[in-house]
Amino acid sequence: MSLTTAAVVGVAFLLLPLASLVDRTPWHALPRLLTTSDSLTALRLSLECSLGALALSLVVGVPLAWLLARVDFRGKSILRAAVTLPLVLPPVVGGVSLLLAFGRNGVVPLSLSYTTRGAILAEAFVALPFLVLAVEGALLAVDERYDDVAATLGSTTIRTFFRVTMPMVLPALAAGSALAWARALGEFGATITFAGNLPGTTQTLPLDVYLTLQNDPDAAIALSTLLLALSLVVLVAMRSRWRLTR
Amino acid sequence: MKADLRAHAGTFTVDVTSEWTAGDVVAVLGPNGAGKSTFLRAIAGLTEATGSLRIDGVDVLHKPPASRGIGWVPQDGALFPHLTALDNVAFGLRGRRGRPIAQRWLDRFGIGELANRRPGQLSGGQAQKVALARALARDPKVLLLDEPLAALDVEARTDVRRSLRAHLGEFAGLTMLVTHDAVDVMTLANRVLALDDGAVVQDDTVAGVTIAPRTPWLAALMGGNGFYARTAAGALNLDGGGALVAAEMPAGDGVEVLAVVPAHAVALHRSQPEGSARNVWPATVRDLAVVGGRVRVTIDGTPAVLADITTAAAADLALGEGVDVWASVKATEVTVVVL
Repeated sequence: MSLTTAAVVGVAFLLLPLASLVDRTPWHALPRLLTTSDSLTALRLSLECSLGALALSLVVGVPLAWLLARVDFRGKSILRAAVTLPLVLPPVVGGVSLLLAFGRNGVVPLSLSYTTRGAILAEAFVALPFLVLAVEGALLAVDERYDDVAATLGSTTIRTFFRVTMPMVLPALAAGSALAWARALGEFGATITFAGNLPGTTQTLPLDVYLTLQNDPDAAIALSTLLLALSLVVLVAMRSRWRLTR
Repeated sequence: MKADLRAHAGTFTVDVTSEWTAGDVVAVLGPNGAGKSTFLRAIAGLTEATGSLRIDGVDVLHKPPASRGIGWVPQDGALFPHLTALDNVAFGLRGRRGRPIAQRWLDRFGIGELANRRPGQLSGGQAQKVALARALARDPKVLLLDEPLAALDVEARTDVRRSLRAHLGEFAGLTMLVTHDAVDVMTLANRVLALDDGAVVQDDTVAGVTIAPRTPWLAALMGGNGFYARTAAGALNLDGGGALVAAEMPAGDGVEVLAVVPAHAVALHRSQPEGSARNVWPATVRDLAVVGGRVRVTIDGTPAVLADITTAAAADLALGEGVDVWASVKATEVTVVVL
């Protein structure tokens, strides 16, 4: 088998399932299936949780990226590895860990398990690395002389951060945000483990899809198509961003 | 400004002790890696330093860059790419409220009409003027310029140099100017601080360095040849081999000196010359380059020298790489700098 043949098999492997999904989508029934009260509840909750997770990721992730890119300290490589860990960690392990940390009998007994805020936390846990890595990479590419010049011009570190550094990494911040949001939107394992599967509270779209598939396949397929469409929107938005920055 | 400073960059240390007065323009010279930029960064407070640094009598060494009263222009200016020329200058003037003052500074540099352009839309020379305006607008006591003209093409360099000369003339503070260009030294500076391997090798007036450079590198920068040598029986034994005779010699043997021979004082001949020159030696042409209408000839021999001859002379001698020649220098053209 030649390399080209293998590559074609690879393409088929990636596209066939998606094509099957599109093929099986009950297009004429889509408006009805997506506007049932169950679907709308899951959709609203998903948007709320994923945007909440993105906001949380921005608030802690951007300073974390700055720390990794700009400050020298011992154990930095260990911290970077720790930040990257959720990328490769099975999400269910993340969920178990969150439960032990922030659950009812957790180390920090915030009782966030089985709450919407818990779902946001679970999604942020897996989404954060995408944002941190994107922003850190961009910060590393920004010449530190800009920070130095700003300092000699009387700027405080915080003012330099907002007036100089952040504007220069805006494209990467947008790309990282899009990736993090998409990852949060699709989060399943950590969410169901830590936050459970309570309709209207923690049952986000992916959880809804999984459950609906048992008794109403058409509804599950419709929701899956919606998630696929959202993923494509993120991808296209990022592509135009890449073109702009080039 | 009075510096008694040890600046650190990794394991490298730059040690400078000297004093300058407001209005001085100090050319900071030295080969790559001599510590020029590190010294400037230490004055700016951007690199770790020990000792003391007094500006207007106040030790600023433990103050942050913002409150030292310095302006720093790194190589190629480092304008903020997302801000307009106007907002770059206004950045150090508390942002938007500083815009009228920033506009006046751009006007003074003759680039007022470029206020709303971003750095990407400016030429190299225009960007460098914005960077200079940005540093000067804060009315610093010490202006630190790190090779402000190095990244520019010849035309822009002349233009920015003229502009810089005008503004440094009006500037009441002290200017430290890192450069590799003898023209900058001659036209902009009145003092020289020469560094090598983190140490001061010459702290002098421009005239002093021109007449009596203390290292071969400085002699070469000023358009000449410099040879470390020791006096012995009325001659100069060069450390790198060969000997020269000078008209005026320090008394005694074993005196460590730098023998300075201007490039234009080296004459070349195709056969052994009969004339009055006391220093004559055989050599081989390694390289030729036309510089400003004259030919700069690099010659291998004992010693190896640079010779500046007219294009007519070069043609006359049919010079080319690998051609064997005789070099001669009159004893009166050899300056002896006691080290």
